[in-house]
Amino acid sequence: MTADALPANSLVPSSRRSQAGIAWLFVAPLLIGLFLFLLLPSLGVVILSFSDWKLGEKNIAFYGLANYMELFTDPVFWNSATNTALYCLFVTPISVALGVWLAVLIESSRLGRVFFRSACFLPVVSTTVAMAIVWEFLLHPTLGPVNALLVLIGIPAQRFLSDAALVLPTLAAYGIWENAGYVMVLVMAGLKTIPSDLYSAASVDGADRPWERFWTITWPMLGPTMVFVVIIILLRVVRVFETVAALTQGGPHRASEVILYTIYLEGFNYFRIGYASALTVVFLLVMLILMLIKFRLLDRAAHYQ
Amino acid sequence: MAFLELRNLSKSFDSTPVLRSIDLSVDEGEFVAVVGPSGCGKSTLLRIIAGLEAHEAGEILISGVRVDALPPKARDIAMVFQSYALYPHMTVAQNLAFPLVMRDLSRLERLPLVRRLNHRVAAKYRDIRATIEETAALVELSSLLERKPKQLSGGQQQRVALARALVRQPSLFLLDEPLSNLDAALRASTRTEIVELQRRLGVTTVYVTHDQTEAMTMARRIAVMMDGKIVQMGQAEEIYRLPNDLRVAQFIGMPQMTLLPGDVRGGVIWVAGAQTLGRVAKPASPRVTVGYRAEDIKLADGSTTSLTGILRHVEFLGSEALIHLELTGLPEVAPLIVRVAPDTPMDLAPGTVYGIALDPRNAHVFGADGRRLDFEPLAHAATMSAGVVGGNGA
Repeated sequence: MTADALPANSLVPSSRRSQAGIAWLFVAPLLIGLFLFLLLPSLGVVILSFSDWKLGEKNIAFYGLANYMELFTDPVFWNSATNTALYCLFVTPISVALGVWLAVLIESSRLGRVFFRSACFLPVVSTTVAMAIVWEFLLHPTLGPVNALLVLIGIPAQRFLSDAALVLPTLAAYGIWENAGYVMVLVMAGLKTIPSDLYSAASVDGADRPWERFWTITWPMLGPTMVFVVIIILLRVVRVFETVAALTQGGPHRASEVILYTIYLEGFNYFRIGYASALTVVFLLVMLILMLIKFRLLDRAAHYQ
Repeated sequence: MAFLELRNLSKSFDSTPVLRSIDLSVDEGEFVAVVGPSGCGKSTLLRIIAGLEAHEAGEILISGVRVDALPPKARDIAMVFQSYALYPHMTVAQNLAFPLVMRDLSRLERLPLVRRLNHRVAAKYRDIRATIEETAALVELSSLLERKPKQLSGGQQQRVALARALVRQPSLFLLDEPLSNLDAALRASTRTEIVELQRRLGVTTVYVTHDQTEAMTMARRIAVMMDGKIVQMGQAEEIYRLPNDLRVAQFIGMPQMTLLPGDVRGGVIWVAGAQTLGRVAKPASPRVTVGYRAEDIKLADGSTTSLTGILRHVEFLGSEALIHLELTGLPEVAPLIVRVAPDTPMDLAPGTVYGIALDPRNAHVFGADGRRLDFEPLAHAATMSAGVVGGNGA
């Protein structure tokens, strides 16, 4: 067929238009969903944060920035923010390091690769609340096997979940257990993209010890993956809620209360929707900043490919 | 004494043999090419020499010392990979420095900051820098030292890979298809560059390729590998003139050797049932294959020869032309390819019938097992064509 056999030129734009129409049609369900369930509620939260509305009340009044003013002087908020920050500071680096270690270890061994991979990924796919109940039993002050083990090696039994000094580290350990497997799976995918020729070249060039291979090839080549992983895990960790709700309810004496749990309490226990909305807006802003950092870093880190 | 010696080397992947008792010896300073189709085991062979893969049986000796148990870095070898395997996060200078740093500096000295604190280490880094610059000049990379591999063209990356291999002055240089990612023009010029570089440095070289042109133009000696075995080893001309195996005959030479069916009757070899070639020295299988190089087949008037062909297709290549002929009466046989001078006055219309003159002295005869068959050519052209036209009913 020659070019003359094609339909006249005027037809092209209209067919392109109808194509665009079909494209919008396909995207529509997602866009509608995003608008209804994400953007609209977010907008609602922002509006409510400037009001004094309490759940169930008929009166609603403009409250200005009063909610935000209260927030910055509220010791409960600062306590939760500190707890959340400490929790992130513990959980993110350790679960990332542990996940990388597991991924490299499992990827380099032939034996039981599938088993170990599944075992480490299990916490990620299992229901947090169900797992929390298991952990509650494991950590039980008198009946728990963890304490039984401690006693066995001569350390007195601990009240992991009701000791104010221990509760946050305990929850952090749980968080690490929960997130390391996720890191591992992501890093394993990253490891697969490293050409094996690089390792061959490195061993010919004299770097054949595992540690040298890791620092000269694996770690630098994982760069873009690592930026992605750290941010993703940070975003997951900041949103910690179920563990706290299921294991400690923020106790003892708010020692394990995190931001999301405070929002939940303010909104659904004290019915102060206006104040809870203000908390949510602040939390959203922090998440947004993290996202922006992620995209900026990813753009820069993707320079190898 | 051979510098690199492989004795009886064998290797298999999951019970599939990939190398079957390989013997190979390379003299000091020699350039040897290992050539074969993909999957013949040539890259595995190179990786075993480098120590990147383990073999199951046999010995590897480098200057008389067994190196089988040594790791790659202890074998004093350097390797260029098909993918170049440049470290993408390092600059060209860092890529070149890497083998030197790993060899010359202890683990402690390699730690960050030590270079700033210790004069001796700083001096070592200065030496390394000097060596890098020298090597970079050798392959014309001096102006690109601070670039990352990604910022270089394919040809430049290839030169970095070469330089990184040469920078340590290894005693054995292994190249695994180093040119296959380059375009045709660059490949030809790089071929010459590598040969000149090798000659200048005098480093013993094993070069693996699937490209027979590379093997024939670059190497002093060629090892042809098929199905995990070295089938023939020798100089390019020897392998071209006297291929000792049907697979070698087909693999080496452009265009491919024309193969014709042959049979042995009463100790005499017949080609295509129409023409005699010679007497076999030893009793042979009744079925044989007769091969002719394109330049060894002569065209004649159709009435003077016992074999004729119908012109089907002409390839004009500038300095020569290749004429494809279908054997009269034997359309199932792959076409004969005849090389002629481009200015030969002849009728090139498809369908023209030509006589095919086969000189018995130029024939390559292979038995049913694919091995070359020695025979005594019949000298008299007259006897061979007389009265055989009637026997064309094969």
